Amino acid sequence: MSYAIRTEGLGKRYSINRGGDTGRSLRDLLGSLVRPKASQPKIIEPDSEPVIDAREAPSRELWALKDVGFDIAEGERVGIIGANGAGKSTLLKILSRVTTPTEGRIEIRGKVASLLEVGTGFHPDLTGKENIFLNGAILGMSAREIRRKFDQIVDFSGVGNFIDTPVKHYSSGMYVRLAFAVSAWLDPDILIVDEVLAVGDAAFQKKCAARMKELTKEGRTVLFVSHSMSSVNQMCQKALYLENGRVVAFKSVEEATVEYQRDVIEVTESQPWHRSAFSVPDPNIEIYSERSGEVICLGGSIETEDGVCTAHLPIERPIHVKLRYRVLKDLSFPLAPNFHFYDEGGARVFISMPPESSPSAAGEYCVTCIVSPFELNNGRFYVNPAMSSFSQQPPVHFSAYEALRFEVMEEPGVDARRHGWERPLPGVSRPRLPWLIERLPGSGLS
Amino acid sequence: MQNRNLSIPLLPRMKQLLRPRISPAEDVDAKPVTIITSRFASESYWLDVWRHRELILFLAWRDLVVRYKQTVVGIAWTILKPLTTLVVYTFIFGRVAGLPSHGIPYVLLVLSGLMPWQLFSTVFSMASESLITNSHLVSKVYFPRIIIPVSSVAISVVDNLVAFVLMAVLMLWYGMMPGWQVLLLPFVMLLAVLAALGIGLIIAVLNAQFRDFRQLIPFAMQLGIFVSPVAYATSVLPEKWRILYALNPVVGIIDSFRWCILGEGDLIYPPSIIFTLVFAAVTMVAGIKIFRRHEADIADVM
Repeated sequence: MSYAIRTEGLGKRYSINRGGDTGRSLRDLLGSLVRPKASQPKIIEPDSEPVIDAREAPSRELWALKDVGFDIAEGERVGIIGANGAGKSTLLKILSRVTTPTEGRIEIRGKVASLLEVGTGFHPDLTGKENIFLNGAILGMSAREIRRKFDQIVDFSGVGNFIDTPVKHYSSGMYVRLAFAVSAWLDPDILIVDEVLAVGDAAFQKKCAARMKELTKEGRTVLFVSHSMSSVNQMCQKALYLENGRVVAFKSVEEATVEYQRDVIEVTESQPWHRSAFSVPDPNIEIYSERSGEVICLGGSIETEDGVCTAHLPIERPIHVKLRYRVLKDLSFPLAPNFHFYDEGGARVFISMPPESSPSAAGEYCVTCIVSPFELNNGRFYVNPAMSSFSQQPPVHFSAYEALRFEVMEEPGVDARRHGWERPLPGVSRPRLPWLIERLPGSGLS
Repeated sequence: MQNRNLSIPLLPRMKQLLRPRISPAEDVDAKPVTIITSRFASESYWLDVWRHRELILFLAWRDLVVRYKQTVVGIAWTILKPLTTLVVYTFIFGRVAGLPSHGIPYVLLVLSGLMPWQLFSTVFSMASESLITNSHLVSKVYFPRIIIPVSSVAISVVDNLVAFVLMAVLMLWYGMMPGWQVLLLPFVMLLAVLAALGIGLIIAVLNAQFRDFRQLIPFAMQLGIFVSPVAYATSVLPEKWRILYALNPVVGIIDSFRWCILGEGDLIYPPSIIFTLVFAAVTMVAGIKIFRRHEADIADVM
């Protein structure tokens, strides 16, 4: 397969020698001519604020990108992920030629269209029609091309009769829809998109996503920057994970997004992520409670079927999730212990409750919920153990927020149902569903 | 040596660059290959400008359309503004100061100075400001940046053409007919545009980094109107000062413009016209060179 984009040793240096971004003052320039060196040495306390003043720190540099190299094959859809300041936008700006790299080289095969924002160059005083032409020309379309696609653009935007009204009278939704519509009918070989999908109402977003998919189906190479792992997962096959201007990973979208999410969690949390057991009180665990004096949480754990407490569980074994609690007095209403399972991205996988209520008599209890093998796919999960009485108002005795955190692991070869597929199998669950395979009568070749 | 292709005639160069891409004998699927390095590619620069030629027109058209939208009087402003200035200057310099006018109605003397001055000063100020007023484009989309200052010229030229209506009416009123020299007028206007655009390009780059020029330019233009022969004839000056005066590039422009319209030979002072020609050529070449050298950084410094 031939390449679409090839980069080598890409680097971008910014020198931060001024305060805001409102432009430099000539005084700085003249000042630096008159005073080539800092005039007076200043005593700076070791723990004082960093020096940002231009005259005192004339050559502070920042490498927004460094040693970035990757090849993107033709027709590949690549997501670019990373925290704020990782260099995503800088990379896009360089690829779309808004700015030049300080070092390195890029080879691009094909016509590039970049959407770093929607509606670039839209003028409020111009009508919708006029803006379509202006914006189209700015994005690199010829007047003939725009005329040819004009009806489709107007249709897609749904602004209808307002097409001859100045866009300043548009609602913000209409404005954005029209702006995206122009971009949606670009016809490049390589499309570079910077999170512009996050516009408009839900219906329009769906339309945009559908159009983006359609665009990519026609064999286009797509680069897509987003903070939303779910849209990157949906849109892309591969992901480029950047951190501090360097490439951390460039691999399948499933692996790269998981790696990124783990790193984010490790940075934001001081303690280890995994938690196979907890007991109350624990300063790291937040317990939500609506009722008091009836039932209290004592603790909980994640165990294998052999009773080994661990946060790393093989996918092919059952998982025992345990909750210990104390009923302080005899209660006249039933109790319903429940476990809330969340995936790594925070989406709820399911809630599980026992088939019958647990005893209401005073005492200490332990409940165990057994998750069948392959019920949870490999990956990380959170559990909120909780206790409720749904006949009461309010119902919640306690809910321990992310009290248990575990990881389902898959060794190669344990899942015969992979049939030789070696790359990740996406999804939160991999249930062992019954299948029926039957030979159709009369289909035999004779 | 980034700009060496400046010296190569543009059209044959473009053909040469286009050839491999339109040849059907080669790979039908051949896609253009773009190489990005730390410098803006100089090889294909003018070809790129050519590819974006429609954008020049679109941006110029936008400026024109936007300018008079939501104004009650509309395009008439283009006449009203110079008319007001014309009346005031004619009164002050012609009546109050009583300056000589070589037998030409003073109002025509002023208008034939005001028009080239307006052309020069607006082209210059618009080009200088153009990168800032279009910064939202510069930071989001790629196209050869030189398109921005170049397209900003259109509005000044159109305004100037409209002002010719005023000129024609006044000349009819005074019963004056221009001579054959009027045919040279387009060249004089081109000269004014090139001289203004040349320095405009340089200031545009500086302006992107140092906003001081935003304050400086209107001020300079206010002074300029008095140190240029806008409201008086160049011959008013003592002979010994004229060579120094000729160092103002606008003097040559205004003198030639007047000569084309009013045909008064004694208004012409050759050294000033020669200097203006040299000035326009030098600033244009230097302007393009400087602009291109800094073009790649513009998005970063704004």
